[in-house]
Amino acid sequence: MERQALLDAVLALCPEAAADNAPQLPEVKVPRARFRALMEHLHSDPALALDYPMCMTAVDWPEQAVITCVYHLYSFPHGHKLVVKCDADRSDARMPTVSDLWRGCEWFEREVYDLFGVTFEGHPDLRRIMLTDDWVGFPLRKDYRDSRIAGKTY
Amino acid sequence: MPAPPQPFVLSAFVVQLLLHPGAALSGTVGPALKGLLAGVGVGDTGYNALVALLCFVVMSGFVTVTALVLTLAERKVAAYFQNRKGPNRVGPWGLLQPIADVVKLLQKEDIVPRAADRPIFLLAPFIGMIATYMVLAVIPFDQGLSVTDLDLGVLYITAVSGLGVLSILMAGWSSANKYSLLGGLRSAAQIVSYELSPALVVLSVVLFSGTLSVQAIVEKQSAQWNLWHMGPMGVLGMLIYLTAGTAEINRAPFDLPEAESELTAGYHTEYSGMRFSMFQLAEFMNMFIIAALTVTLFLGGWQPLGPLRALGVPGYLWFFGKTTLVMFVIMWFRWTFPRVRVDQLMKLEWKILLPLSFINLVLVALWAAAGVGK
Amino acid sequence: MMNLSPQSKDALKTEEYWINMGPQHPSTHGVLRLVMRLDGETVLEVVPHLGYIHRSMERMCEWDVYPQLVHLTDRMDYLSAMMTNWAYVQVVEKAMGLVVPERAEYIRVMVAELNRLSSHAMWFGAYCMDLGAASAFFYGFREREIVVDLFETLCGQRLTYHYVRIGGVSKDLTEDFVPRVLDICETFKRAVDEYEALVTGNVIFQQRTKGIGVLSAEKAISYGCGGPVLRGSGVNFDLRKNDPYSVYGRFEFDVPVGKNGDCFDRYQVRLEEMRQSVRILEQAVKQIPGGPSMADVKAIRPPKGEYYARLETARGDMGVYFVSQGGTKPYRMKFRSACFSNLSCLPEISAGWKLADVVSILGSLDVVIPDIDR
Repeated sequence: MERQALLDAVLALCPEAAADNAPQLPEVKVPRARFRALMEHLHSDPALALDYPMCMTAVDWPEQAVITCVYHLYSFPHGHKLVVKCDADRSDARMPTVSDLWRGCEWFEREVYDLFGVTFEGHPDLRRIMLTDDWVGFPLRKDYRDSRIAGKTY
Repeated sequence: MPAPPQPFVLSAFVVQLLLHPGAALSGTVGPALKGLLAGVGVGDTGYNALVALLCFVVMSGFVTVTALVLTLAERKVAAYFQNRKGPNRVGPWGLLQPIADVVKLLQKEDIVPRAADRPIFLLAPFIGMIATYMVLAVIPFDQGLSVTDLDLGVLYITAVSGLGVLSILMAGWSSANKYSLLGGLRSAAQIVSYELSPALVVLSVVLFSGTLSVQAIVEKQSAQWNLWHMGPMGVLGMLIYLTAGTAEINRAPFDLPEAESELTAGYHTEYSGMRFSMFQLAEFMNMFIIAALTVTLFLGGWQPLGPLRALGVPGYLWFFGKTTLVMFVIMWFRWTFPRVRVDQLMKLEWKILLPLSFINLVLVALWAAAGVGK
Repeated sequence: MMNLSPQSKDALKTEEYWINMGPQHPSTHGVLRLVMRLDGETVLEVVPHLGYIHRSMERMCEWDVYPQLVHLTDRMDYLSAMMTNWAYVQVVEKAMGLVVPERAEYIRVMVAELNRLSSHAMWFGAYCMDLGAASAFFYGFREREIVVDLFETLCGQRLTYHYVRIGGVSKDLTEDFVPRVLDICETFKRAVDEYEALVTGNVIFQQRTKGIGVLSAEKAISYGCGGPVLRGSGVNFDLRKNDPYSVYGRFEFDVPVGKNGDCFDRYQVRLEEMRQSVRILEQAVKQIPGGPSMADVKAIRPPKGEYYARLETARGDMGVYFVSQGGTKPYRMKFRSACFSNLSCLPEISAGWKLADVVSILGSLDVVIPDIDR
């Protein structure tokens, strides 16, 4: 499916989503309330069939006080790609999990939890993956300070 | 009337010692020693005790030297299989490497874990060596050249080789280490299972030769070695024996209980220094024993190959040459094949090798009854 | 008489136990800790613990300029460092709309395929060693050494190449590069045939890999697996063909696909991939044009926006995602590592198998831990 048709299909499924004018891949931004339902549709709808989790990560925007979770999805049957973004509040970062839809997201979400502090509701095993279990703080957040790191400015 | 003693000529004696050591030792050295002791007033019992002591000393020397040579041989063979050279710094071709290894092991601290069952922990390596010595005692290196010649040599060997299992179990249990125990149990289960097929194969050879004495089995192979004299069963028997023998000594491709040092270590983890080297020594000597027994049962022991008898090469050279060849094959196995998984190992024995050895036994019985062996 | 049925109080009870493997263990995968729950020999649950070599590279990327970040990618999947470099460099070039000279594209393809060959040769050696065939390790390394020597002549490094840079490659090819590449092609054709002859048909090897660790196509896609793990499960997908980048469209090569998704299929896919890499190299050597090997690029300032690109490394689907604010340093850089997703399927596909099989499955997934931990 080519880019515009894909965006139209997604907007038809979720009118509250906003199509981002991204230079490279088609992107949609979804409010958190509609996120889980849209992801289920993206996974199960045979015309879209986005069955492969290419990448899942988060970006910290302290000025807007959000942490944006970014999902790159690919479809094996159709060969198209889609980027789905969803904002989580920086002060209380919670997102619904999609690890039951794409099994690869199980570990991706653990990584985002570990490094950004976003809690994924419904995740089967949400614990830190890279850092030790008793680590305090979320290193990839822009306001993370660690006295042990000398000389670098953030 | 005893024959008059022949004059002792040193050069003749040395030639006889080199060519027919068995006859030289029992014919010349034995009576001379007896006479010497009789002169001092020591009777037959004393003579037997002295001979036993001498045999023990010689065997210890033999075991030590052989095990040391084998450690180097294994490393060199492995290296050449792996496109590299192996130890070649310590002495020419690395010949002094075993000495270096021994010195290293001797100066290591002898650690006994506090929670270990001390008497059993200390005793375990030696039980393994005892089993090794006991089996070596009946293997004939040349005509009449064995420590002793029992009438039930084969039965004795089968019985005594079970002692090695005891040593492994003792080591695994007394180490006070969950993983040593598991490794030891797995090793023991493997060895005990793999005692059965060799026993049956050996029984088939006994059936064919009509005798339990190891010396007699070798002597009966003077015309033809059992490998071809027993027809296709000879080949089958030898293959089963070699396979099961390799499994019995816990060597690759059947060394999963040991190589599981990826997570559980073998039964000898807690041992250090000389005690650990006793286990290694026992392992190498077991390899020698399996090779020696294969040669004795199937490849004619010290008998030369029929047509080459005229060359006059002494029997013990034939024996060591053949044993070296079989040991090389056993080493070849280790450095070529991947490891067999433990349940596949058990399946191999109980579902494949054991039925095959039964069939082998029946076929040999028929073969012998048809008068082929006579 | 004891009643040994499970319900009675005399019944033999079995207990499950937890075993720890790693973070250091003999297999050369890296620092990975696997905690397993076992019932006897059977693995019920595998819990991987990562992060032992987490160096927070993504954080480091936020305080260095774009050209400086190439060296970080070397140290992620270090066995396919050329391709990891390329994955990062390619997304920055796409963001800037930078046109890479054609000669540089061909050079990149050639070094990437050579890297794939050396990576798979090493994987072959390590996998066979994990399974117990220790000699194969040296055979794999013998071939890898030739490629690594070539890279040393080319860019001065044997492992962390830092050769593929933004805009092209750091140095042009040396004069002996093309003849040596053709030699390597001949060597690897013979080598892969040798590996097939030595290992593929071996019954023990097949018993340890066939039917073990089956990963279905749907699960492979759902877990985000790529590379030989995905293709071994029967999914005909190779980024070089299905999502082509650089000049791969100009070469003729096949994509090997497995049938059952077991360890054996993944093994065969990798061996066949080596042959296909040789094909690509032979074509690239003929087609490579002259010209500059590096674009004339000044300041690297990708325009504001978010970009994603992916590449087929030796291990799978490696992606790089970054957010640019228009400056010289990225705002956020994410490396989507191939091994991270490949390893995530381990708990599911190894449950129910034996302990020794987990080693085999982990080896067949071909993970490099620094790539997972970044």
